[in-house]
Amino acid sequence: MDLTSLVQGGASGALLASLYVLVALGLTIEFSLLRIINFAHGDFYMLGAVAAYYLFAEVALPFPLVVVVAAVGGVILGFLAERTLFRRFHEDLLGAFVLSLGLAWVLEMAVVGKFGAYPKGLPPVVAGVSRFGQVAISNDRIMVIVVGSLIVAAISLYVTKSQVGRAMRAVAQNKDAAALLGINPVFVGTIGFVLGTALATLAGALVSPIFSVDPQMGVGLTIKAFVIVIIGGMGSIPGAVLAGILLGLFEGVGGIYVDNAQLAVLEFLVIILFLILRPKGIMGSAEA
Amino acid sequence: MCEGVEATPPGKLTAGSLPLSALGITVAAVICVALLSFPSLGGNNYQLRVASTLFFNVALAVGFWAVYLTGLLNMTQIAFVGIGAYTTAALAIHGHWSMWAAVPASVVAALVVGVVIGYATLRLRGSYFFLVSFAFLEVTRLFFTSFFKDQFGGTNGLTGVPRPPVLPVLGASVNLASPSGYYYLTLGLMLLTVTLIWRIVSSRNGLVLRALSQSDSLAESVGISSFRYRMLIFLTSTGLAGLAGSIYAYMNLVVFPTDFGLTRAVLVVVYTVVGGVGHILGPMLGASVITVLGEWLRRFGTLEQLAYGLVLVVVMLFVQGGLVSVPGRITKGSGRLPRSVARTAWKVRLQAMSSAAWRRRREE
Repeated sequence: MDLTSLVQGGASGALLASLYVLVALGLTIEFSLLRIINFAHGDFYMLGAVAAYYLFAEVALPFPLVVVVAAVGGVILGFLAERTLFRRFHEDLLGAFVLSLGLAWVLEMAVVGKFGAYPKGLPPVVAGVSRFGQVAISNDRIMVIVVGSLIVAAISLYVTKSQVGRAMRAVAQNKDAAALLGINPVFVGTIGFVLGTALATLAGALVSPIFSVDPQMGVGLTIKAFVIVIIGGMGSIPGAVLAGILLGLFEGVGGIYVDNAQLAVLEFLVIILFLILRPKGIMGSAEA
Repeated sequence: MCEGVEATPPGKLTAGSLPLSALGITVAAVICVALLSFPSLGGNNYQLRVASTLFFNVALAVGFWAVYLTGLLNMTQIAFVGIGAYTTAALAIHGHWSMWAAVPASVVAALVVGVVIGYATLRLRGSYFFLVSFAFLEVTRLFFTSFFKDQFGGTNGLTGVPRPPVLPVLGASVNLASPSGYYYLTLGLMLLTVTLIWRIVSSRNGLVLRALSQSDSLAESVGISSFRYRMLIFLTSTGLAGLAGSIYAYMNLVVFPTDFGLTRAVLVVVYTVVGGVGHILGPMLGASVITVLGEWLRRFGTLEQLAYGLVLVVVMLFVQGGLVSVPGRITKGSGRLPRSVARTAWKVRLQAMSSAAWRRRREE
């Protein structure tokens, strides 16, 4: 085992980790507040990437603006989805799941109709490659890792320090008690859902120059994010961050030695073992 | 196989949500006879093919529904269909096994894997179980894609499954490899599935299953082992899925890893939810309607899949009991006030307000 390939694997692991954490954060916040699993979460990520393709590769807006537009789009979409679809399914795990399965299907097929079923690539945002000794990392990847980490840090700060963030944690801990103290759980839930969706679309736009954009990119990521949320402990934000980093590094480094399918089978075994040995997750306290 | 439906003692059926009356049994018998004689009454090959797909889908939906009744969203079913299909294809192609050996072997293979998966996962609840079952679906597909490529053919799948044999039945010979042969195979699968599942669900076990879907801890507090009952229904569904997979291999004569992926699994969820989970007729009705609808929508390309998604969302939002709940809603009314009642109430309130305002004005 040589050090260079290990570091190289670690770098791609860091990239995956920042993507996973961004997407899983939204899923875990939504779960902690509304007790639902939004299966369409990864499709919001896909929509962000598709929007970035049109805005960046075709309209040629500056990339930071593209990311902001995607996030704002996510806020609007999230608000609409919560109000029209998910509002009746708070705390109804099966119902919300089936509903979001339908939504994911609709979003995916609608994008296939407009965008086409085949992957498309974006031009690089920050061209060139940085070298650290023998390890080469493209500048785009460094950009995603840095920006992704900053956003994750900002969200963690927001949730721990701000008034709304504290209200969110109160609702996540005990909805009825929070309501007694004058917090509107429905309102806080909407904010959490919107925040989660915006994080997903933002992540999609952010990584679009690196991974090719295609309508099917969301489903796999939903599963990954779901795995992270469970390993981290359902609804736990630090747990999701930690589990996301672990999974990203595991895949990045593991990808050097085995192919993707073998990695997936290995991951499955790890998850099964994990669920049997510690079903609450790394940081979880309550059972779903 | 029709006898299975009729022979069930009516006394045991009262536990189900729809006790089988003499009328019900007669209707079931008439439907069975009609279904059995359809090919000889001159159904054309296209109709027979659509009917086979329909029976196959009904069997899957009923198997899925049974596990759903225990409060588990089981995505492993299609993986077990895949395991059955691949077992059959590999044994028939590489081992030259006959259909009579390959079909039971496929069911056994599905059951063996099912016992392992069941032991590992059936203690998990809600979302955890869903996640693991989903992961198992993906992993099984990946397994057939990239492991044992000599045996399973990788992404190219397994082609060249030998045709099923010609059977002598009552002096005549039924060619199982013909459209009417496939019709009878899938009809048999469907009747077996419906009979088995119906017997479990309408027995005392069925009450237990429903109790489990309400509350595990409550059920356990009255001495029910939720694990044992979940295992019973899960293995029944799994074995039937393996059988379905085996029949699938003989119908298509080729199997691909992508045949057993997310798309098909989601479709089974759609069948069940659209039909309604309140009664066994729900998944049957849902699978039938959507299969026929799908044949019609096929000409619209990707719009077909878009329509499935839309139907799912609309049913979840507006008809939560599914299609089977519609007659009951019309006669009994839904949980909400019927519109006419609401309108009358609104008028009464308006009148009261206006008369109050009028009285106040007069008092001034």
